[in-house]
Amino acid sequence: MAAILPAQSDLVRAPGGAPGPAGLKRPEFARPPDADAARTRNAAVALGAFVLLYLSWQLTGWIPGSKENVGDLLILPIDAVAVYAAWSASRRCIGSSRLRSFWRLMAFALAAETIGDLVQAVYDIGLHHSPYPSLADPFYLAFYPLLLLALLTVTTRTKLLKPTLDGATIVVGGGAVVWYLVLGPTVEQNHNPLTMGVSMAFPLGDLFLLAGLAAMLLRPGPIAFRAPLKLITVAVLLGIGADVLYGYGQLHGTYRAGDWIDTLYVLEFAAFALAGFSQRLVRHGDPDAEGDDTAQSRSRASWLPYLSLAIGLGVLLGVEWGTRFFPTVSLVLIVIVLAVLVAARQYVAQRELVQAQAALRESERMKDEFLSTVGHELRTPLTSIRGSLGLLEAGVLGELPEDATNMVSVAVLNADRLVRLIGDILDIERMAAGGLLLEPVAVDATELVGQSLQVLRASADAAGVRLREDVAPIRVMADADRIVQVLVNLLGNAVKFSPPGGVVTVTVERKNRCAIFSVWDTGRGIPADRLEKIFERFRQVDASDAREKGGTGLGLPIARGIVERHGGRVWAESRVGVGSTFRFTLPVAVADLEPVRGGVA
Amino acid sequence: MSPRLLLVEDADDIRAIACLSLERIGDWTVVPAASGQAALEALAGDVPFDAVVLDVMMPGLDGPDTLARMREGALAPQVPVVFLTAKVGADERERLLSLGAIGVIAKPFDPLTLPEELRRILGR
Repeated sequence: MAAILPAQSDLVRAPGGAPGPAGLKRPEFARPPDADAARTRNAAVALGAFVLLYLSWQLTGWIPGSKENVGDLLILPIDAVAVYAAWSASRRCIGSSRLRSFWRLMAFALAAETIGDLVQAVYDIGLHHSPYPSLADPFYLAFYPLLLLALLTVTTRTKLLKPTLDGATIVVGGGAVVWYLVLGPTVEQNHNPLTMGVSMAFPLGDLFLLAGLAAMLLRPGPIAFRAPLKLITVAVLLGIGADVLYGYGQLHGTYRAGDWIDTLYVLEFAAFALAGFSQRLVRHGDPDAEGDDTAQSRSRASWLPYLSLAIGLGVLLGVEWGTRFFPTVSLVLIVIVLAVLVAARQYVAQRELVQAQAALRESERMKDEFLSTVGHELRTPLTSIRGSLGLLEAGVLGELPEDATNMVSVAVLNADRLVRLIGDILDIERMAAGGLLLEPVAVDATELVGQSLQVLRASADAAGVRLREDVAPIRVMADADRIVQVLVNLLGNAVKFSPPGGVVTVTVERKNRCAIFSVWDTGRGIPADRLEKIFERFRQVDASDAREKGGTGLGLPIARGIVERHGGRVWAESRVGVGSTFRFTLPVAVADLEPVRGGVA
Repeated sequence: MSPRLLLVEDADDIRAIACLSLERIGDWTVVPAASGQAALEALAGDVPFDAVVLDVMMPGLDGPDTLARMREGALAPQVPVVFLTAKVGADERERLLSLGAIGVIAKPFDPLTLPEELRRILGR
């Protein structure tokens, strides 16, 4: 029943700390939510302290004893902590078999390295004799396949071309460096087969790790693995770098145990340990356990191929051109392969982008089409409903009892609301699809305002709001029906939001080649930060307005769409508690422009 | 005797509403027709009509086709025809008038004002 009672003692124990009251409470739920963060923080402090200790010894040598021996011993505790961290992480991942396997493999890999270090210490300190290759090397070498397997386990296999190309770029770029610095010279030096085999196994292992790392980073993986992923990446890169430097040092006979290069190994294991501690708890049924962290992995790793390319080319071009280990021909070939890989990747990425944009446009178009179809399908029956109700309400079919008249009025009112809403939705969609056709002709502003006030008169009277106008005799270029729609919208809002006894004023004045239409109210006003937003689709100053005032939230966006298609501009000015002014401009009719210049027509 | 109107509209609901409106609010005697073909048959009958209200979008014989057949077949060449259409652009209005109609009524219409609108177009 391990799955049901999972690793209880581990769940309540701090990283290196005292055991909690295991099994007394239900530990899974007793755990505070920030336990993962706290554990990671404590581990970071402890590991940081150890790294500082190690560095201070590297710089000053304050610990007595030979550099080799102290170095061999100092690396053991960090090894052990890393193994423990990976193992405890595996026990925290009860809800994800993928993460559990990953951390187990990590623990095995780190344990192999630890045993290798232990054997090496026995050689150096106990036997005062360090053969090469030695019994430590099988353990060291076991680290690579185990870690590689772990890296390949944790992510989801995909058939995506881009990650594959990225991985290939990284491996060729990194491989060139490893070959140049370590592999080529090893082959050249022609040791005996065993020495050569072991010497080549390390850099080859690193190359495979690099490929595994690329695979892990570029493929989608569990969301719960987000924090450890970065640290694992850092650790593997540190390890590969250290291995290349170590191999290079060995080759030229400059490396000795306790060398400064060991600092990189210490950092590597500190990073592995911290990665283990940062693995958050994954319970059964955790949605992040197997969820694919796709977006994350794509964006975070897109720079990797370029980095490897830059490092590869930098190292290759920075050193002597065409040495005996690295003939000019292979250098040129590598550069060509890298260039092709990067170009191919760019092409694939570009194509994916174009496809995604096309898909987006298509879905937008289908949405618009759907809304338009639904709108029309709704409008047809609604028109019949409204027409029938209108005839009933007017008493055309005979006088109705009072209760029936009331009910019919309710039905009429709501049918009208639906008609308005559907009309607004269709208008908005028509504008989005660019299908709103206007037929601007020269019309009198007084005519437009007069028609609009006519429409609003009844509801203004009902609300106890007075309507006033002050309109200059200007002729504007306008699609009369549409501009009346805009004015009715603005006036309707002004009336709706005015208190009883309030005044709504329409003014039209001329400014240069524009006529400015303004609708003034004495309502509650609009906060300054909302003055622009209210012109966006489905926005109202207060969400409850939609219910209380019966608006659709589409009136102002439609008004803006119509005015802008006339070549005008619409905006709002307001003082909270005093009132609001909605203004829009329309071009003055061309014939009317002449008198201004000429004085009298 | 109230004037006779031929109402050609394929949608049953709209036809019923328009009929009621024109008969009860207006003073028309409405003869409904559900298609262009039915309209032509009604026009070929003995009793003449005073006006025709013709839906534009109909399956089979549409409004303009029906009008053309009326004129070709010399069926009631003098009867004024008013189109009923959901497309209300100025271009469309011009096109319909150029076919020989004397007016266009936009759909959806308000049944309470429909008789008044028709009266205005016909100048009665």
